[in-house]
Amino acid sequence: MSISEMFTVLIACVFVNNYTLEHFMGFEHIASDTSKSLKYNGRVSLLLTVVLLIATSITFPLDKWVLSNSLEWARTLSYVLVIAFSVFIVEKLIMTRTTDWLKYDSINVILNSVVLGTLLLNKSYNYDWLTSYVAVIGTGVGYFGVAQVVCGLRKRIDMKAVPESFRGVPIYLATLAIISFTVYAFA
Amino acid sequence: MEEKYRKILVELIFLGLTPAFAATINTVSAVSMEVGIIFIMVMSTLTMRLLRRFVTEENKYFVTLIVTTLYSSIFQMVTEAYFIDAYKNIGMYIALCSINMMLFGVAQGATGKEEKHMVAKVLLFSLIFGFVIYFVGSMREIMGVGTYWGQVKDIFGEVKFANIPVKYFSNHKVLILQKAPGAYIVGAIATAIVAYVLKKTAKKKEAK
Amino acid sequence: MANKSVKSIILPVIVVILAFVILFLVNLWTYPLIVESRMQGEVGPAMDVMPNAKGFEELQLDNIPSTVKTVYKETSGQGYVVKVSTKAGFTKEAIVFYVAIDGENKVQKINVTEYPETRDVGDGYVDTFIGSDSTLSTVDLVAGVTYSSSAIKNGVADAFKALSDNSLIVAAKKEPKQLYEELMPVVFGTAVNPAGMMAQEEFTSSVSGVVKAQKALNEGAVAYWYTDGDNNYAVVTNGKIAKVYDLEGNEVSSLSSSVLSSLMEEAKTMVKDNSSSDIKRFKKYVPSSTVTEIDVPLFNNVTTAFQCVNENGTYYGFGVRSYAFENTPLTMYISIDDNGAIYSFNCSSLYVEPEYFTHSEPDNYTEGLVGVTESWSGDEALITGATLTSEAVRDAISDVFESFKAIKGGN
Repeated sequence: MSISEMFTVLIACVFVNNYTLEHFMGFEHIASDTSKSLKYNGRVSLLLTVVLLIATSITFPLDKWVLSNSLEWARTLSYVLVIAFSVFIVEKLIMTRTTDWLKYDSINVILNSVVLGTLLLNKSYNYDWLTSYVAVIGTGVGYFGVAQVVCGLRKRIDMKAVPESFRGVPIYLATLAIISFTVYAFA
Repeated sequence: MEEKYRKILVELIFLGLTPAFAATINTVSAVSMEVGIIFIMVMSTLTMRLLRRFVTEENKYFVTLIVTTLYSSIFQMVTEAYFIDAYKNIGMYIALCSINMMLFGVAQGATGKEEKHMVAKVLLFSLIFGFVIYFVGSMREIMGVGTYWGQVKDIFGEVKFANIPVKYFSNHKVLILQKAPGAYIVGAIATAIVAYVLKKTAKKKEAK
Repeated sequence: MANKSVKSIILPVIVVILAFVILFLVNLWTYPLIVESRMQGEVGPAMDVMPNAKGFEELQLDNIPSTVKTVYKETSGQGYVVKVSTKAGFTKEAIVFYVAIDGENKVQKINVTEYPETRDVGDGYVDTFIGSDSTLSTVDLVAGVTYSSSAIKNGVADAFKALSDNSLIVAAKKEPKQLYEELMPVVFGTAVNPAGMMAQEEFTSSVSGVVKAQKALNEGAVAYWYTDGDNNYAVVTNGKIAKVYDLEGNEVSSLSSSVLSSLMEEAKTMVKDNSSSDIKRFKKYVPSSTVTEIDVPLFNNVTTAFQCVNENGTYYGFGVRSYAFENTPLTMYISIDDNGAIYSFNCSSLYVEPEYFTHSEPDNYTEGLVGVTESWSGDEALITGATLTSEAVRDAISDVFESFKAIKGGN
């Protein structure tokens, strides 16, 4: 893919094809995160991006040389194992040295559907290796953007003004709907 | 339903919505995903229940992850083999069920020794979850496209659903419901309905 | 402790291995079904048009029309199924259909899978193709849905062409009537609207031997199908010049001169002479010029041509009558300078529907066309909400440039 096409992919992953808003990935983590700190979301997004970069480095050649030769049945399980391995590496290399800087359960990274979803979508779009990295960076930036907006809005929603049945999960979904509208306008 | 589950039910439904929303583009896809989630949830719970004597605190997350991935892959392959039309809509999202927080949490909870009638509780919960995504799928299809269950309109001519002719909606389509924002809106309404029903039944129990 | 650590590792390893084994076994069971389902998904629509087919093989063919997307050969020799996607309909969105051609080289069935047009061709239209050979002589267009039905008919013709060009079938021989009707849009440009459809009406000719006589709706020229018993000719004339073709589209000179004179004499009475009124116009649009009429050896929507000479140089004025909404002739007066750029553009009937000009005033629109050359993009002619009028203006300007080139004698 040319540089301009990669740039298009990057912008698409951030806005138009934002995996959280268009493909419903990872929104439960964003909306259920009880942290009040906006900086925290940036660090979580960075962590997810690093995990994805390591996972992409492993899954791309694995897919190209191993799984595509009649081993497609093992794709999902292989990807999950690769993600777990990537998280293990990140945990041992980074998180043990930054326990105050970022406290985040590694299981939450594995269970974040943005991670597996990005790998699967990059495969379905047939991106080459470099474009996959670009898409991963775009996904991280997009996730960060949505997380920032949702967490900022959480502070401003006055739960007393919200009907009782809508308090909590339903109002967060409605918030995501409004944010999704704005992104839809780009499409 | 026990009080401790009632309180977290809506949150638990929310955690499981990632693959479900993507599959609610129409009723057929929503029902296919519902069947898949019930299958994965029940089988994962049964398997973890059988393995509960062998799992330790260090490895229970990993084992649960592999078990849910196994059953979601099985369901994915069976759907592609027998229901290719449904697979075209929900294929990738079945794979995402392997890391679905709701399925993971329920299966991992089955390793607790105190739980009784676990499978029955899980089945009940999955049916409630199934109602949510069925509702979202139906509303998105009826109001977004004007059909219900896909091509049934062609077979029966004018299809009526709860005395509201679907033909009305085919002339007054709300196209945004077929896109991502529509799924979030209808999902918000569906979870609000579930929260409301739970609150009413809780009040009735308290009154008793 | 060590026991617990070992237990922590052994169980996950066993679970992973077991998971792979189970998935492998499930794959052994489902893989043949998956392959069959995928194949069914691809050739399912082909099976719909050829239900008795045993199986299909996709052919990779060269030199096929762009509307033909896939060609399947039925494995037991029952014929072919062709997938066609055409954007020649009214909405310019893709109409997709599958056509089954049986062993006798005739249409067996057509199934339209995507139809984005605003008007329905009717359920029975595709049934009129059944039993037709590659000439499609028995198939007519649907009144009121001409664009869409013509798109489907041309798509089926393309399917036959793809097969006959690759020697998979033998194309049927077309009757003279069909050859003549297919030739008309090619040679009788005066009666062709921007969408490529004929805008003409028939009349009865007094010349013996004429099978069919047609007049362009803009009254710029007439066309005849003449036969002398042995040969068939297509004659296009405006009374001043004439072109004679055989039904294959080749220009010929074998038509008797007396017959040709009779046809041209009759054409003079059918064609409207706009010369005197157009001369007056161009004297106004190219000020202080001497206007002389010239003949253009082409039959397009240009009905009059003039050379206008004044102290600033030589200009060429063209009276163009192209077709807009419902094939109503739209008269435009376009002058070009000697370098091939538009000098002036005038069209009084554009102001009939002023609400169309949402983006600019009518004066800005016509002034925006001044200076346009042959390499223009066509965007200057766009009127938002008035597609057919925009197309008529584009068509007119294209014909003017074509005529200008013919006058100058260049390529």
